[in-house]
Amino acid sequence: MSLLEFKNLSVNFTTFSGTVKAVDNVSFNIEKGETVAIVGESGSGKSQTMLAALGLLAENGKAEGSVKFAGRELINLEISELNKIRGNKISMVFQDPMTSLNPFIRISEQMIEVLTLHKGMSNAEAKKEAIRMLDAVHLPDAKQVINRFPHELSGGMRQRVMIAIALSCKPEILIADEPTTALDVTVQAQMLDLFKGLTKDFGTSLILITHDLGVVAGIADRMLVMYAGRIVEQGNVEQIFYTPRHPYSFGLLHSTPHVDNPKLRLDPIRGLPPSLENLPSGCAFHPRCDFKLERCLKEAPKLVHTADGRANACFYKGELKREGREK
Amino acid sequence: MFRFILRRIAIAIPTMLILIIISFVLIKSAPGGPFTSERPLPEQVLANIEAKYGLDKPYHQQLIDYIVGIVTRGDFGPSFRYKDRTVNDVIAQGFPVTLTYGFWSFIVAVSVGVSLGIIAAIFHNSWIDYFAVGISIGAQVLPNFVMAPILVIIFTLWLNWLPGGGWHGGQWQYIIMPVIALSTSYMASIARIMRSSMLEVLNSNFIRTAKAKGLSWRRIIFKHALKPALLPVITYLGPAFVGMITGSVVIDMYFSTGGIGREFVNSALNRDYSVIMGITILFGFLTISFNLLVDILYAWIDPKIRY
Amino acid sequence: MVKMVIGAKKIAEMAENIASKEMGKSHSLWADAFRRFFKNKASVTSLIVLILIVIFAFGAPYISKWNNEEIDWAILGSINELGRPSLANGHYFGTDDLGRDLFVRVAQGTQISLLVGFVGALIAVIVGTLYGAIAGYFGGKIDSFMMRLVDILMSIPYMFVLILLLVVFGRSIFMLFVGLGLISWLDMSRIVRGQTMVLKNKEFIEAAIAGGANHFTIIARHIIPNLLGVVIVYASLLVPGMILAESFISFLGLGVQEPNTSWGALISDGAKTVLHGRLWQLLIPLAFFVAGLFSFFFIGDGLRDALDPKDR
Repeated sequence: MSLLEFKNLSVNFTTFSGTVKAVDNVSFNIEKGETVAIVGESGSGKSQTMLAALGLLAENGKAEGSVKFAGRELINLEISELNKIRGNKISMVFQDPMTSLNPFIRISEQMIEVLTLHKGMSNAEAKKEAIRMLDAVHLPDAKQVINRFPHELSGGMRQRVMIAIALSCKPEILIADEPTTALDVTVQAQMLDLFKGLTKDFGTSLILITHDLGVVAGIADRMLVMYAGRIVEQGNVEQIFYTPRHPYSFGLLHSTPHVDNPKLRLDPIRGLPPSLENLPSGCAFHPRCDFKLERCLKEAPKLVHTADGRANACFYKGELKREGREK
Repeated sequence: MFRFILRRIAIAIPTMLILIIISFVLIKSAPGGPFTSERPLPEQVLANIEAKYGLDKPYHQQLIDYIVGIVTRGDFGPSFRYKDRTVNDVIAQGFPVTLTYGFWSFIVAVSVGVSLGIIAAIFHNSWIDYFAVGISIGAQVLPNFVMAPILVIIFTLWLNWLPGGGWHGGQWQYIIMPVIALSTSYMASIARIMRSSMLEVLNSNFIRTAKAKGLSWRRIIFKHALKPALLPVITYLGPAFVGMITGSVVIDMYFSTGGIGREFVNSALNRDYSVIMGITILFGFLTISFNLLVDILYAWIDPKIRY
Repeated sequence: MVKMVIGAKKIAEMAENIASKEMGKSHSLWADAFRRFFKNKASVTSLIVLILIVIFAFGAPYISKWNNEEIDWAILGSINELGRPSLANGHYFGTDDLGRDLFVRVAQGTQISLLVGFVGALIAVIVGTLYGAIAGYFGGKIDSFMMRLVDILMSIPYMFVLILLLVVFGRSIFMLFVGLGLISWLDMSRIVRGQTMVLKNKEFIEAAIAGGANHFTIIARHIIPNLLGVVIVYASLLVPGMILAESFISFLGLGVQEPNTSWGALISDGAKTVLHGRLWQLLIPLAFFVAGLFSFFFIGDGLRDALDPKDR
């Protein structure tokens, strides 16, 4: 049994113009202590998959299928039971640190409430622990900072506070939704080091949602590539980086600059991500794919697992290669 | 905070002065003096009376005397119509009544409005939400002067539960209808504002964070969402207060509660200038002080406001 | 009272939208808005109701055999029985306490209430637009002085000042128009100022300045026409606000004077006789008042949605 098991999870949103399928029949597992990156463009369903697991979908969203945490079904779990898991066993760090902290409440209060709720600490104990957590995320002057309001902190400081809150109950799983996109590049690197160190120290599994392959290379063990609500490829980071099997992963890798081989020309994927309200027929990627076959227009490929522990969803079995990439 | 309050007071004082000056200029520009009547008084008598009330002095001197009188002695001067009463007597008689039902109306409007708005937001798109929205739309066309007769039809004429007017020292059965009539439309507006701002806050990122922390909905609503959602309501309290003060005139006229409003209308009909002016200034003072309080309350709730 | 129904902030927000959309393809914008408005069932129904009310207000006096000042001596003294609404004696809405025909009185009151609403709103719109456009266009010290003045005026309980005005200068309909208009332009001026400040940094204004146009021309030819959307929406909400304010004052007996009447005055008369059981004297004018205000609010809502696509 894996720590977290997604099985046939779908997420639908009811909108004015009809039902939109944001996540389409997704299955994968997260093991204890590993770091998994979920990669994809915006709208690929990577965030909604995770929000669905924690019952955090917007009001018009509905999850179907199954997400099991340590064998326990999370989808449609009673809210009071779910609340014993959220913030305690599984916690989440959101994309935008500027708006994800409550601007009307002091940092101390926002940190203490998790500890008193889940760990039954007294206020005094919780405050001590909170300061310890702020030290752990390398926030200078934790004793003073904890008494401030969020707007008195910089973006990087706020994200550290968010991480400290998320880790304060020593969760088994930490979900980080683009934790570094809103931050300066220098702060991004510090943040990643922090994640790496902390997950190792606490033995926490990390699920990192990102569109930044640089981040993935630096931190993740495994990766899932999502496109238009489906997983198109999954496997070890090294495997996918060196020999991508899905044309989309291939395209993503070639549209990222390589520090070690600056001679490679950047080669972005042509076209735009599809609108979920109006998906192309067959494989959703076919209009942008250089390797498409006749079949791709009519039929959507299933995710096929192979003996080497990888999986991909593509009919094209040949070599992925592009001419003339050397400058 | 202290400096913030001082700055607010620094704005409030000239506002008050402008109100006094506007009223004063308006009254002085009225055709005919306060003692012009159908039967003209003998010139000597008129001169005597004017001297007695200080009306023979130049206008700016009168204005200064008037302001000094209010500031130093709280004295609004004599009534021009009733020789034996001062403006202060009129106010002292009616103001406690106005204050009593005005206070309760305000409490009812705010507490019911805020609760209704919160409940509607929590049960968004349920029957209770539609009910609250319906009430708040309906109440836009049910101002106090419409509510008052409707209440009398229902509770006095048909059900015979409550007396149709009077005050009797403020016994409860005499307070109920004035309070409902005065508070309904403001209650509805507050409910509408509260509902939409609560909905907006509940969709914000920091509430998603609170949910992800595993907090109970009670804590999410009352600890995390209430303060930010209240800010628009607090902004509205100023206009609501003005509206209720103004509406008290209708209440006093219709329910014969004996508050200050009836005196105001009667003096308006009798052209008793000093009473009109006194009451206008008193209500202006209340409004401006209340707005000051609202500003301070706002700054106290919102930590982002720097003083 | 105007503030009671309109979120000034919301208007300001959507004003931004309207102004930014208006550049360039203004024709299609208005056509679009027109189409959207007529798709909105509530606003179209309200518009029909309002048109019916207007037809009634101006048509009723020709239908009835009574006129508004004539007293029906035949029923005087037994109004409770004979003054009820009836088709037989031609008092379709019954009579008032003095034996005058309510059908015609209501028509007359409707005319005056609508007139006060539109004229008052018009005055407020003109004063507020000019004031706001000037403050916003010139900016700097002029702007901060003008706007501080608005702030100060806003915190004065204006209904009392209006009553003072009516007492001093006599209670006439003309004074009521002027008084209502003069105290209701404050919100309008704020909204227009905000919009003007956005507009004046747009390229076409800079082009006009570079082309040597003087300030007056720029304000009149370039700024104000581009504010039209906001002004229409806000004005549509000012009208019911004006009617409410007028009704309030007339209810107190300080507004429209006999033999003229208005919704507020009729409600006031009716309210006084409620305990004598002459409910029709209250309920009929009240029904017109409620239907009229509802229509105005829904039309205003419809206009806002039509001119502000984002809000849908």
